[in-house]
Amino acid sequence: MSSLKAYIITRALLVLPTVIILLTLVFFILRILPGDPIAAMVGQKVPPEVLEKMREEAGLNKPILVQYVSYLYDIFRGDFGRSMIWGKRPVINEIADRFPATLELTIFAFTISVLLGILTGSIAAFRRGSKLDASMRVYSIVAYTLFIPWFGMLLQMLFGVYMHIFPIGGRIAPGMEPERITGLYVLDSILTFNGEALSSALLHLFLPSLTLGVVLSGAYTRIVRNNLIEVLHQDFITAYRARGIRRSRIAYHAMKNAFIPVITLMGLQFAILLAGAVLTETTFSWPGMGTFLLERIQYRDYTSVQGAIVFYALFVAVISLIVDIIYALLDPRIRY
Amino acid sequence: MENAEVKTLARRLFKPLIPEAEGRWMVISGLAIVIFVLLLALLAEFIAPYNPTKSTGDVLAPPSLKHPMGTDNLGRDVLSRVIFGSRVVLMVVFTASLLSMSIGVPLGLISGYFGGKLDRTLSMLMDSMYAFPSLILAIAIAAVLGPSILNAMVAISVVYVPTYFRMIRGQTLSIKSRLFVEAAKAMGAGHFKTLSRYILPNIVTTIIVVFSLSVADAILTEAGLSFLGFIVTAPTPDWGYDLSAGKPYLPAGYWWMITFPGMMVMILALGFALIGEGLSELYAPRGER
Repeated sequence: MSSLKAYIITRALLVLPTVIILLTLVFFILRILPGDPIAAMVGQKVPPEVLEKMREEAGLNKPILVQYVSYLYDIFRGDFGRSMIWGKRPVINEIADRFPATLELTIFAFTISVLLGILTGSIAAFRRGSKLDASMRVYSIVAYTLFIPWFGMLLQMLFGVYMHIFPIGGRIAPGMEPERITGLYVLDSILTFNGEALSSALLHLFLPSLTLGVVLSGAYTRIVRNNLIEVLHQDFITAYRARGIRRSRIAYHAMKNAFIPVITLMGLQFAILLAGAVLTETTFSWPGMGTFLLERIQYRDYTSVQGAIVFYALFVAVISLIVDIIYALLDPRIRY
Repeated sequence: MENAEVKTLARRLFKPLIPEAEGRWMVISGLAIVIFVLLLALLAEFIAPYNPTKSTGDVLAPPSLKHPMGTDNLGRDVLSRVIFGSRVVLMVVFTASLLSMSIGVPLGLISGYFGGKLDRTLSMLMDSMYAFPSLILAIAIAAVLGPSILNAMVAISVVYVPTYFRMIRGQTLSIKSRLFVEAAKAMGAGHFKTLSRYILPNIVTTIIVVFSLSVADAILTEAGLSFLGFIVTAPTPDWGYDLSAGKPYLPAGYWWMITFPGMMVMILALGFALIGEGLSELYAPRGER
């Protein structure tokens, strides 16, 4: 068996304990913390018999160990329970409705943050010690400390309220939704050749993904700068210079070598991306997982809240696995 | 501690005062910001021109000499609310960070020093927590505990324990294999003495750097939780909460309700981030910069 295959299998097996720890943590937080989750969420005003019925619905009247085992078992079967409000739909279906919005937002924000980070970081590295370098380093700290709802609202104010270029909320103009294939509006409108939906979806995506992208880009600026400086000092670059190879060619080789640590950062940044998405979604009335979680906390829909958090945990575990595999593909040293 | 050790430690800690040190300006400007906000919080009663929770009679008035940051939808002076708003965030973030530090640092020391099964278990637990989006974890805890200042402190402190744990554990691992620790052990120093007298003084600078950086992050988490309604209720002034209160008035162009509270969140977080970044540059051994 090739070492890569062995690495991937070992890494995939290692996801299981991480997932179980995270699921246990969620279980613990929602149940064993002081107080009863249902009572805490519903408040004091509900008559005890209604409270009892709600606890029964959520399976909270059984012994804790039984609850724990059936909780894990249900999750592994893909059963997240049923919502406690409205149509009592399966929570997994509700998540399936909301998740594509978050995925679309995070993909665009992620792309913007990486591109901005590479641009600013390489400017800083190639002009090391200059004023430009100093301002890029300040940028990397300031971008990180921007408070997402505030930055988002400033952009809404400027581009939405005053200049009327971009809409200030929602995913797409009402009634323009493309036929659902993947749930990602941009992709679906391309697949169905729906130009109007595509432009509306992109217009709506711009401000939220720019907000999240700028805030996350600071970390990339720094890592790209530091790695590039290190690579530019290595012997092979000096050798290229000595042989009179063009600057742009040297820059290309240096960037290629400086890119591997950036991928590690992508994995680490993913949790921050998801957390930032919650605030971005709230600011831009974006109907994704973050707004779903908050809305269900408000409606005291206990099973949906648990389902959403469990889903986040699974998502994080899967992404970290994918990042590690990409890393191993790019850098053979990791596999051994 | 021996006299010489105290001196070396003191020299390291007070390195930011050396004029030619790199990163010094970051520490100084960061400290200036933090001291400024601390003064706002301490002297709020004397500085704030109006009562932050009472209407001044002018509703949604734009910034003017009378109201430098305008008034909100209930006629309250935004400047006064911004000044008083520094109190909740500083209190929550300092308490929470001290709590996470007092849990994370000892656990990291013990885990890194003793190793073995305990270390593996703790590391796995902390790594899993670290991988989970911090704000979402804090939201989950705050949702179960209910919205209050005390519960927000608990939620935020839980979230930052893994940050301290991971940094301290890593440092402990690298220091415990150094020659002077081996020598101390060979000369009969027990576990407690080795940890407290030989390892701890060598990670003090790391603790200070991690503290500044995690406080910067915790400020953003506090503001996020407050923005989402998990910390204070009306009429308590808090920057994140005031920002969400201004959101419905944004489409009509009342920019002053959101601009100033959000700006303060950024300024305070920036202050701590600058201190942390500057110090980590100052304390980093030569060549690691």
